[in-house]
Amino acid sequence: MRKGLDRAFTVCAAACAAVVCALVLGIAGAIVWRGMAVLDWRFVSRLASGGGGAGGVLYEILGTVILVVTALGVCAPLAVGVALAEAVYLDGHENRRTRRWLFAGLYAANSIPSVLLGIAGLIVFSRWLGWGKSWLAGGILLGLMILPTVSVALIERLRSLPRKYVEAATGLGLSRSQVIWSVLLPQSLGGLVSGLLLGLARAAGETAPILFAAAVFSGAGLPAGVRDSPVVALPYHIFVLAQDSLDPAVQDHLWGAAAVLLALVLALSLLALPVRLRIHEEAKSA
Amino acid sequence: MLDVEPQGETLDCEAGEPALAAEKLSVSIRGRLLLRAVDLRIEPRRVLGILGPSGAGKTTLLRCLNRLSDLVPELTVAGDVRLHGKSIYDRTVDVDALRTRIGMIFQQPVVFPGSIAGNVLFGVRRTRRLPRRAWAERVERALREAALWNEVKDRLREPAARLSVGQQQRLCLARVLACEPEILLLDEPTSSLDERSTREIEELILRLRERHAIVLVTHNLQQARRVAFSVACLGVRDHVGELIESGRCCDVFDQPRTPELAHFLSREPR
Repeated sequence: MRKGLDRAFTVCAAACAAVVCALVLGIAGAIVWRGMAVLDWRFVSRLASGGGGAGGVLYEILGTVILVVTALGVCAPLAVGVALAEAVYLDGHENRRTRRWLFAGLYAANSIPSVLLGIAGLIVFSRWLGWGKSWLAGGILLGLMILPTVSVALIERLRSLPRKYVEAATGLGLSRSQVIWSVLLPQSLGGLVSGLLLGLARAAGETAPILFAAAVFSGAGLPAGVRDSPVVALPYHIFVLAQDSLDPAVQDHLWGAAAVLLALVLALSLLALPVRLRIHEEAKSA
Repeated sequence: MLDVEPQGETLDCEAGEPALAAEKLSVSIRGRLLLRAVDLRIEPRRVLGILGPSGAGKTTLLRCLNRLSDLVPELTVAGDVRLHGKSIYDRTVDVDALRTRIGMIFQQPVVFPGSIAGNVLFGVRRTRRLPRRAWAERVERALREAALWNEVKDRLREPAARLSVGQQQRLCLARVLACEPEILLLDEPTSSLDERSTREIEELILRLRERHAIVLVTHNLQQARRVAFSVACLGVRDHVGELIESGRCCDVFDQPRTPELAHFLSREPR
């Protein structure tokens, strides 16, 4: 009976894993297969033509990178600040309620639908600040969108650091800020980088937050300022083509752009892999 | 056996100005008393052993002596600790500077990720703003003081984690010594070491006492006899740690005045 149950669980777990793998490989395979018709060096190095439905996706790639890098610049310092506030400055029994509220806030922020962020961006950046459509608004919105994920990853990493390091450093006479710079941040860098890259991989594929405040379908080059400086971005490009086009040639363009976006997201996830492996090794050796 | 005579039987018991003194020190956590009214005197260039059963508050007491107890915000400290007569709990005291004067070694060696030399310089580089040209000299001096130089002089750039546990503990000592502390607090520094490493650390303590006041928390009576000039024995009364007896090693061990200490001594290997 026990052996039978054990085997049934094993089969169930293997089946679940197989379904997930099949889904990921199936979707990725279908995208690459259908995009093969247009995928070549010229596709990624040329500008779009024919109103955005033909040519290459160079500006879309650059626009996506601009948004992602801006999101990184916005998110990283905020995540470090939130994580340090939670793990260092709010340490101790008397702050447990504040910590609980902070965590609740982070999880609540993580569950905000991304389209609401887009609308908030439209109201705040486009209307109140008068930026119109701006790459900076898009970067900020994407940065805020991934902030809870990155913060929680960093908090978990900080919490998992053995307390003995903080005690040893403090015992040597290091001030709290020196302990943060010399012990906590270097040792939690893995968590920050890993969380950031995973968050950015998600941000790179998001359409809703940039829909109203940052992206246009065509006609935008590299931004020269902040006000009225929209970008073209791969997810928005794919979104519009998928909605509007029935032309088979444009469909090929759409699948090619999707394959490039997939490669971009995959590259970001792969960048995080060595860091995550190092953390795993450190955890094993500890 | 050590080739240095037990300190308790060779030094006289002249009591001068203490380097560090605890006065009616009580510690509680969220209203629950952990330690009650402990009085201690730590003389310059002497080793004070702190003994007692588990849960008597030896480590808590030690951490109050350099305010490492501040890291636990729930801990409340009453009474006082005086360094050369000045309260270390005074509001005007620079706590970080205080901890460079009163260094601490923990039960388990704590080496930071990085090289052996990097570990030695970890504290002094940041607290003393030591210029780069002085690093090599400081590393060598601290490692020699910690009797580790000969074993690691050819591999200073290697990761410290590759050292044996005994070597790591001496590296931690070198790291503290590099900051030139006046007083050393040693929290059961040999509890995770084998016999040989324990002996090396004990010999080191005996050498270090020539320039430092040392407080050694230990479970090992023989170790206390070998290296300590005087001892303070903590016991548990009404679930609270308390100083039950203190004095010169030979007096306390040979003629315990309290039944708790007599009981404790009878249970420990001598």
